[in-house]
Amino acid sequence: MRGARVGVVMVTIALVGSGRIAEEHALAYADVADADVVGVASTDDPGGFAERLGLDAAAFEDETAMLDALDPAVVDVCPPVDRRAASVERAVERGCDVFCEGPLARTLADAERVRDGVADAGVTFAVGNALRFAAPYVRARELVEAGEVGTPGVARATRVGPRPAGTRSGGDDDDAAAADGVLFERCVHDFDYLRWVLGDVARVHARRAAWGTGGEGGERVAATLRFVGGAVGHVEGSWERSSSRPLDASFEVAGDDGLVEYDGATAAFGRYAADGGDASTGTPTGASPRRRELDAFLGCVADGGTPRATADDGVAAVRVALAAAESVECGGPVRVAEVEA
Amino acid sequence: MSLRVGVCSTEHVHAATYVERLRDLDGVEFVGATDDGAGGEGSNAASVGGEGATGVDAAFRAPEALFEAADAVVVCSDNASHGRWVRAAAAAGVAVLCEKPLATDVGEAAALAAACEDAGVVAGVCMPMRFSPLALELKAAYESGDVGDLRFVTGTNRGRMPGGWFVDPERAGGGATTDHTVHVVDLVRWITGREVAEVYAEVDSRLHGIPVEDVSVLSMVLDDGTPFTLDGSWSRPDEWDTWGDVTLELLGTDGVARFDTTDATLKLTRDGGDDAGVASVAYGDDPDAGLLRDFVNAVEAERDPRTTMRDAVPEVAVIEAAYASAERGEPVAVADVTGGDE
Repeated sequence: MRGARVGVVMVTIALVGSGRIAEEHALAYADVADADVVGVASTDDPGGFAERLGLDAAAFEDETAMLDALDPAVVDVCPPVDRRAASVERAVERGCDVFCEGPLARTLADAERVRDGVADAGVTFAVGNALRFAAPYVRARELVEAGEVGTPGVARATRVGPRPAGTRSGGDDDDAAAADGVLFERCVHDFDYLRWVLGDVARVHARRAAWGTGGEGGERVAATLRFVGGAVGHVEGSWERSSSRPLDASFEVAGDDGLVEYDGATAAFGRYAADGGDASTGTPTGASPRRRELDAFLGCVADGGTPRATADDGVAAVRVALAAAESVECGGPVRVAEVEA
Repeated sequence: MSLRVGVCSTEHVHAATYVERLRDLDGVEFVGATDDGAGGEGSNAASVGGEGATGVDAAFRAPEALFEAADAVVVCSDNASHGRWVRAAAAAGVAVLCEKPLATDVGEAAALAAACEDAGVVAGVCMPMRFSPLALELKAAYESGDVGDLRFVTGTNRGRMPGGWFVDPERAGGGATTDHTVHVVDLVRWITGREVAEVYAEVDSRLHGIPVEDVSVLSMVLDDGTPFTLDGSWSRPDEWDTWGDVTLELLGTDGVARFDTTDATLKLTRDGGDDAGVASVAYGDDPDAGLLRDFVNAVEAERDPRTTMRDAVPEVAVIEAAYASAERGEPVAVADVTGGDE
């Protein structure tokens, strides 16, 4: 049931992208009373996307054309990673408030250019990381902030499981540009989360294995971090073909006075069909993390607040991912502050 | 005729458990424990002394007397004393099972293995995880080809900080890295047949205010290029529900196989008494019992135990490489610390 908040103007949103993440965003906005997705720009069948999701949105193959035609208040940027910086810049130049899915970019130069452009334009800008709105992750950070584990000493974050549909391969035989798949599609979210909890990362050492090609490829990365504050972290991410093992997203933070652990492999809710069809398990926590995140962003748009993940955070997460990628190549630890790419 | 087994030193936290298991083993006569006190404080004499189950006085015997009375001994001293006891057992012609790590210096580890080989005594190192039903299942899965070609190994062996001599650099040789590297490294070597080629270590003392490291995160590579990470930190708080964990995951081209010891537990909540609170109690075949039974069988059959002292030498090299890496701030090749001696 939709109804605008009293005194709040309907926010027009233009979506850039038509993939899995764009779909999640579109569906989340559908539940937000004062948000209206009015346009979708994508080089991959934007019209089909809008129709499939029942969006009353105009479809464009060209972003600039969309921005010209619709003059939206907000632009939601979620194309493939290497196209995000350009999309953000186009939107910010026009004074649109922007939500950009994380990671911000594949290169430091792009990420920093975005940050600088956002600062100059003075718009509301948020980088997406649903973990910052996922109940267990949020609650754990509250516990750490409250001193429940004391001073953190060693943390671990895991994100391993089947390849999502439509991901570009990270296998050996494929395009090197896609070779950072797991780092930029999985690990980077945990880098951002752990930064949010433990502060900046000083250095990274990472190892990577990749095999197979295309949809049959697998990739795993393990990054060993040392935080500026002194704690050590282990972040692991993978894309595997073992689709019978569901995504396992877990983490823990151990400190000098305690330990908080989250086992993402356990589910509080389950639904199983008598005919042996697909089971569905998970742990609903109220509004979905994606919905909370976009709601929070729109709240900042309305009241001028600072989003939970800013452009600076976006740049920092990209730095850590790039440091890890560089470490994979050179074999040694890489100082995050010295990343230049 | 029973195999007569004794215990050299009771400093190790496992000593009391081993004595208990030895007393329960068929065909084994526990003949006593000895501790010359030269190792230092921390002897668990009170927990293992007293009358033996078979009428033999299981109170402390002088070392020479124990070696006279035993066919085999289990060395449960601090790490620094392993060498003394192993050499004494070898010289006395007594079979010896030594707690891990065998040594903290790879040259010393190799020397101990050689001393036992030269003396012709059965010699092993305590690697109970080779008797864990979970680890055995993982080995079977790997050998069946379930994971295909190995591509990544991920392990943890996190525990409570043991205190006592374990945190005395002189007596332990190091902290969490010394204590919690070899169990998982041994499993990986045993299951895959590969050696650790390189170690990058992040270690630090951050959790307990002790003079040795309690954080130990190792990023290694096997000799076939497979990455292998291991968190062996003493990061479980004193109030955690069990002593610690062992987890191991093998990821390959055809699948993944993994186990987690903390999932094979009952949740026991006590409302009173000394151990009030929630505890996780393990079930299944006891790896310690399996370890001792195998050692006893090995001595009787004059064959190698499942983990020989010679097997354990490369694992000591991994510990050394880890510390070297932590000191230098860069990855260290294991070959650099063995210097070809191995």
